[in-house]
Amino acid sequence: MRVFLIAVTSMIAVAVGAYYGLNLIQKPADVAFAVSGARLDAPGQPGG
Amino acid sequence: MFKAALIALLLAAAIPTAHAQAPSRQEAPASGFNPTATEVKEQDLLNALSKVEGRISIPDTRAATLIQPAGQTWRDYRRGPLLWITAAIVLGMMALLTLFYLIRGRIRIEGGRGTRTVLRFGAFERFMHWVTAASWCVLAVSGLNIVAGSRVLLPLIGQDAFSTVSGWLKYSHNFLAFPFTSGVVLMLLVWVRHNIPNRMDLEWFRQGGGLFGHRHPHSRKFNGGQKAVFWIVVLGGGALAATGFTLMFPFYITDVTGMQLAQIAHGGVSLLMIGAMLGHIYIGSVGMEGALDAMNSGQVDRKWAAAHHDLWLAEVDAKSTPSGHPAE
Repeated sequence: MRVFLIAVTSMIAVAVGAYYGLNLIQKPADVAFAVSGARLDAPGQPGG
Repeated sequence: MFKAALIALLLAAAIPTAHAQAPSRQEAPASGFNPTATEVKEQDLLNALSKVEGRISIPDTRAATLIQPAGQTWRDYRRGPLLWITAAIVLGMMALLTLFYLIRGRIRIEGGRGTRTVLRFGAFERFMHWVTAASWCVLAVSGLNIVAGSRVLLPLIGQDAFSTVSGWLKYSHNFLAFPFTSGVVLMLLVWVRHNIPNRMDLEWFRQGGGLFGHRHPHSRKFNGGQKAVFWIVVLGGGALAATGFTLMFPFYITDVTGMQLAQIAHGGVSLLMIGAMLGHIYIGSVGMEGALDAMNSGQVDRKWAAAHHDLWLAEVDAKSTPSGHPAE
């Protein structure tokens, strides 16, 4: 059980690290899937 | 009629090659626009071209693509066949396992549990197993929600709750891909030497793994079924990582057609893995007495080990110290 809890904690830690890592290099969907000439509102933020 | 004329205008302006690929069609005027457009059939053009593209002068070449007809096929596949394939694999596997349980019952340790145990998996082996397994469970559930959530979960919990749940599951799907991939790599490095297929595995499969009788085929640390699970996880997990990271970074690695193919492959491999892992989870928990101990405490009953991994137990005993304690 102890190993399982350590594994789950480690999994969450790596996932949190992935969150910060992806924030640095991953483009948001409204940018990634639009061409440079298009202007789209950010998802969930009309007019943003 | 208006729609056909509009498409004719669009295509005539954008794709001079379109007419070259349809020689039977009426020649368009020099202006490039045929107002009658009787010969222009939208579906014919979409079928004939992988992409409807124009000429542009801006640096972003993706802007040249006006229509990508394969996207319609991809969307239809996601909305139709993929849902049915998902239901068939998930529900079918659960039904099969339930039927197996009703017929065979729980596979017990012959003569009941003994008093002596042997270390089957060390702490690090169990750690990497649970990192991979826990990540995979969330990835599987969140992936199934992407495919079927709007049909299954949305009617049950309503739009607001579904939106919140799906948002969190989508984030989980992205972020837990990293511990899952790490776990698969660790398992490959640590366990590959025990999972090289050999003739003994064929005999194990020939005897049905001992699932249907009281005789158990010979086996070392991993039997034929466990080796199959190992390679499904390693190869399937590798394929999921490759296709998943392709989708996570749109247009970095491939174009939109490549991403559609990656999504189809990602979904297909995922479903195969879900089917296989349901079987693995069943036999490692309720299906077989004593099996879960191997990944829980790491200590398994010696009688269980003698029945299912006799050659491995003999190897461990041979390495044991004179006092009888395992060398591990």
